[in-house]
Amino acid sequence: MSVARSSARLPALVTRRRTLSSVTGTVLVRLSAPVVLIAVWQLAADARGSMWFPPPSAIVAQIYHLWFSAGFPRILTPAVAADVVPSFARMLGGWAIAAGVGVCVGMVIGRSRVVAQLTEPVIHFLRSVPGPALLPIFLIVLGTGTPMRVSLIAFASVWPILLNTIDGVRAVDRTQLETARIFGLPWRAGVFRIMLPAAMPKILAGLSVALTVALTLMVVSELTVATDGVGYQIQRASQLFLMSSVWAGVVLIAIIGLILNSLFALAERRALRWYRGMQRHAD
Amino acid sequence: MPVLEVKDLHYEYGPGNVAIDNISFTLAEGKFTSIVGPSGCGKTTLLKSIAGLLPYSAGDVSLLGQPVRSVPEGLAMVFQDYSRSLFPWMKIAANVELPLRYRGVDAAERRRRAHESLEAVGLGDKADRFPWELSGGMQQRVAIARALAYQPRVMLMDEPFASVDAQTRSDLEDLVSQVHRQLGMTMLFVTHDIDEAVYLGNEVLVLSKSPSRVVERIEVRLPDDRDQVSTKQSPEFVDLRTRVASLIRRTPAPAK
Repeated sequence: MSVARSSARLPALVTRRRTLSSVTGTVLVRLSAPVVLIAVWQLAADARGSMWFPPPSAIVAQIYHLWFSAGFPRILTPAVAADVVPSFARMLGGWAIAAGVGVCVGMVIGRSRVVAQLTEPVIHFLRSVPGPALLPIFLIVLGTGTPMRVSLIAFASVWPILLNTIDGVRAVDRTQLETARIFGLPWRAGVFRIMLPAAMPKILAGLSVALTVALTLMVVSELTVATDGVGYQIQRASQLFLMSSVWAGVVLIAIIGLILNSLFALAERRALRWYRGMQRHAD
Repeated sequence: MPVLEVKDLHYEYGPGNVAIDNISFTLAEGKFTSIVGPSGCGKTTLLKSIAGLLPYSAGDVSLLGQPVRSVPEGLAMVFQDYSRSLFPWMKIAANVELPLRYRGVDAAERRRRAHESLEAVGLGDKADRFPWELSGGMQQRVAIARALAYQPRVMLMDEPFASVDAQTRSDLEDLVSQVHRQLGMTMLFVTHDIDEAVYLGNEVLVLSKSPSRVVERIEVRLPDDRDQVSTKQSPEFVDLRTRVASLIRRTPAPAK
């Protein structure tokens, strides 16, 4: 066994070389389904024009027209600053607030049985409320401005973070905490160097789910009494039956969502390299 | 003054559920004391009470003259479960250095001490690895190195070699023995292995079954320079291990 471990670097090299040669193949396979789907849509739309389902080419053209047609060197149109930027700023703001609140509160609840017993019934009630159902209440209490939308996003996306943090912190190994005590780690070090890293795999999983929830609530919060945002732009376009603009908004949100998720997955992989490594070694 | 004094220690899990009946002993500076007893006799409970991890029900524990209420300074512990005692998100060097950071040891000195203690356990070249990249025996060596770098007055070891293979176990026993001779800290070594208790100790405390008491304290008068083969063959060793074994077998069943 020790022989296999000491030579663990060798197979890694071999794997890397193999991956390099097949990487183009993998990319081609992965791209095939979306390409076929888009092609079918394009052909169907061209063959039988439908007002509600414009061809992908028209959607792409509209995306270009709406947001990228300012010409060199600006490229981005004023609509980007007016709609796209505020939307995603609110989304990331709400998500960040949810992350701060969820992780801090989750750690307290996860470590204290009394606090857990006091708060858990309330948490499980509140998290069962679908965020969109609360939109009217948030509107009445917080008005129509940015604070209302950010709050709604934060409220809806806090639950996966909170629950995962509670779970993660609760599952921290007893021996790890006893080790920290034996070696006289002050409580802050116990929190930041032991508990937080130990719970990090769960916390990051929660943050990832929350990112999707935040994206959803960003759109929902902009569908009523909004003055800007991608959701507002979709809503306005649909009232005017500008279907290619509606679809352009939908596709733009999907693409930015995809990019955010990928960036997050990348950051997660970096942060949890130890965790993946440990799991691989356990096999 | 004894380094560690345990007087009339009593521990109950709940009302009427006695794990430790009454244990008293003292440890002299620099001695290697093995505690051996049948499984489930409250050895870990005893060690955790001494370490300040468990509030004991009655009695007194004092370390260097100070009563133990919480984890005392100058004490380090090596746990049985090395894989859960090392932090998998830190590399080996960081694991060893971590405790020093909070004792006001500056960065250069931390690095020096970590390097030195990793060298002492034969892992000088593994500082940049993660714990899970090493074998079980090596991980336990890291845990020992971490305790050594901490430079404790008293080192507690809770069945540290119970989950490594036999060959690794002999190697680690010799390592601990050698470290103790070189550095001279007081060692309290808990095990259920009679040979190991006798082979390592200057003295052996034999515990009874739960609720546990000290059945006997046996002085081990073997030469300091011990050898896995020849020492274990010597008549003195065989006598001692027979004595300990019969004591453990004879310990009366607990009166419930």
